[in-house]
Amino acid sequence: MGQPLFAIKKTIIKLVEWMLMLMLLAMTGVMFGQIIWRYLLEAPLVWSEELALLLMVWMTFLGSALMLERKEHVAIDVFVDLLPDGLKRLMQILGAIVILIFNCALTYGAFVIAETAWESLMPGLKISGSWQYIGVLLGGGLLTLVSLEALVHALRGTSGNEVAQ
Amino acid sequence: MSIVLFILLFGLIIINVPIAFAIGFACLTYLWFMDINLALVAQRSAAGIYSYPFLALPMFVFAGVLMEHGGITQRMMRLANAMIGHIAGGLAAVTVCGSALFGALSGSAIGDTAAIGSIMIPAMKAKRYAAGFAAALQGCSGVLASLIPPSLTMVILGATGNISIAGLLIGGLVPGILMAAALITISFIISKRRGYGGGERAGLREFIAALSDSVLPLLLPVIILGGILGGIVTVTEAAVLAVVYAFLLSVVIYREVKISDMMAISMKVVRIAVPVQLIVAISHLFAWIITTEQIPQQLTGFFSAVAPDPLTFLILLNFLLLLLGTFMESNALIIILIPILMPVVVQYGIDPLHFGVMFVVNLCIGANTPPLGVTLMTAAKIADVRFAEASRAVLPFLAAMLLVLVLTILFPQLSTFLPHLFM
Repeated sequence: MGQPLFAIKKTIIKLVEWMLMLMLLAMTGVMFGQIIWRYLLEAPLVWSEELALLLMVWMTFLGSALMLERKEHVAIDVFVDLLPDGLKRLMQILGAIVILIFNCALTYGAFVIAETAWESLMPGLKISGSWQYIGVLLGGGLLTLVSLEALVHALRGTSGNEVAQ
Repeated sequence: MSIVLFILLFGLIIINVPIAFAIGFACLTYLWFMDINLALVAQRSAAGIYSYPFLALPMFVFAGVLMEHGGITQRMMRLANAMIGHIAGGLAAVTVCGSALFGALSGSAIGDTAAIGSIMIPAMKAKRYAAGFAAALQGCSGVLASLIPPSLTMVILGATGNISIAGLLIGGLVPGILMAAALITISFIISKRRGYGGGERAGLREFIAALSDSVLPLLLPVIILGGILGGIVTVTEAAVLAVVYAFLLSVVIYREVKISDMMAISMKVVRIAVPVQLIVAISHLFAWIITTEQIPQQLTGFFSAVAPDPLTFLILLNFLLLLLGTFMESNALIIILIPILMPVVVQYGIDPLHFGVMFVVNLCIGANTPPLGVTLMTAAKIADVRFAEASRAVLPFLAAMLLVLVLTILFPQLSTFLPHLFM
């Protein structure tokens, strides 16, 4: 991968990491607020649960892209490890294609739904219902990029860890 | 069509496609063939994780990671050591009790194994315990975290199968204690025979010091369980309170976590929670297909032909689960199987709480069964011992855990008595 592309990738990763941290803290804060307002102030918030769930959707899909990049998703490698190298590489390419196709479909679907849901309103937050699908769309887009990179590496026979050079 | 779905799913998993994407692609293929709008993938996935009970998952993970970084582990170990460090195989007993205590804080089996194991395994090796034994014992003790509340596994199981999460959390307590007792008994027998010695008996003074040092962290499970059992808060809210409490403890009171550590802690939470969340999200589509294809009904037909009564059904199912559990990750197994199995379970008139707890006990065994037990592998890595050696040493412990499983199957009261008493 070229230097400028690599710099962009690093910036995106940093950005996603920051977003994930802030979303996690916000989820906690909002839910804690909900408890305080409900039990101590006896004035339940109408939007807190929706916001926390919205953040969880965003966290799931943005975080998944980061985890795919770091190969942290739950997978079973003991069987492919038994295969000879050539076959193993074939499986790696096949796997990369499967993941790429799914991520493209996810992104496409998120776009379609976000567009359809634009007029709808989340009852508590009073914002467009599209917002949760925008999280899927962003995460899906990043997932697609990551899986595209993984496919290129699988085809070239590189591991993807030497990009730093 | 459903046969193709399953063959594709397991085929992809076997060739090392991450489980979440294997499920996703199999479902996508189904939608494609059935000519259903592909946008359903995104819509169902988002809906799958837009779930209030699941919010407890990242929260419990967050609390656990804060605790782990906040110097709580050492305090738990000191207390366990003061309680039982002096008996033969004392360190082994400390490992079991420490794992159970820490499991009550962290809630995740692999996290528990890694946290306690990195302290106890070197300690055991230094006292000439066989490394294989140390790894096997730690692997089996780590899964106590799935049974002793609060358990992430129970949260996932309850949310997936629409079973009371609070009920499951409390229902796991008795089998969890039984399993701890079984592990201690086995390690006591082995230690006696091989002459693994005990330490010095801790004086009353040390015991009191250790207890007062751990009293604040030990209040956490009390807050969680008390809050849930008292009907004051929901499980999700209890998880949030756990995070706030763990934050206060590790940042403000013990000061072992600095604000600048927050990024590293958040990333650890992401690494533990997000892969599970993604499987949960994508499996929502899978569950929808399962329902559309009426797979539970077909399965009920199949089981009622081979298993006339609930007990035969449970026994058959447990054999199947033990087999699957050796090579599938527990959470993924729960998320895939529970939607298929729950309707069958209800048909047989089995108490969902009994079934759920039994399911988790079974998975605890799978997580330590060679060739693929994940917690056993984690422990073997920490012990720096060949997996084959840990696999040999784990056999007596597996036998003890199997006994607990049999008891859990035969006596539903073990898992249902406490929840029904409180709720």
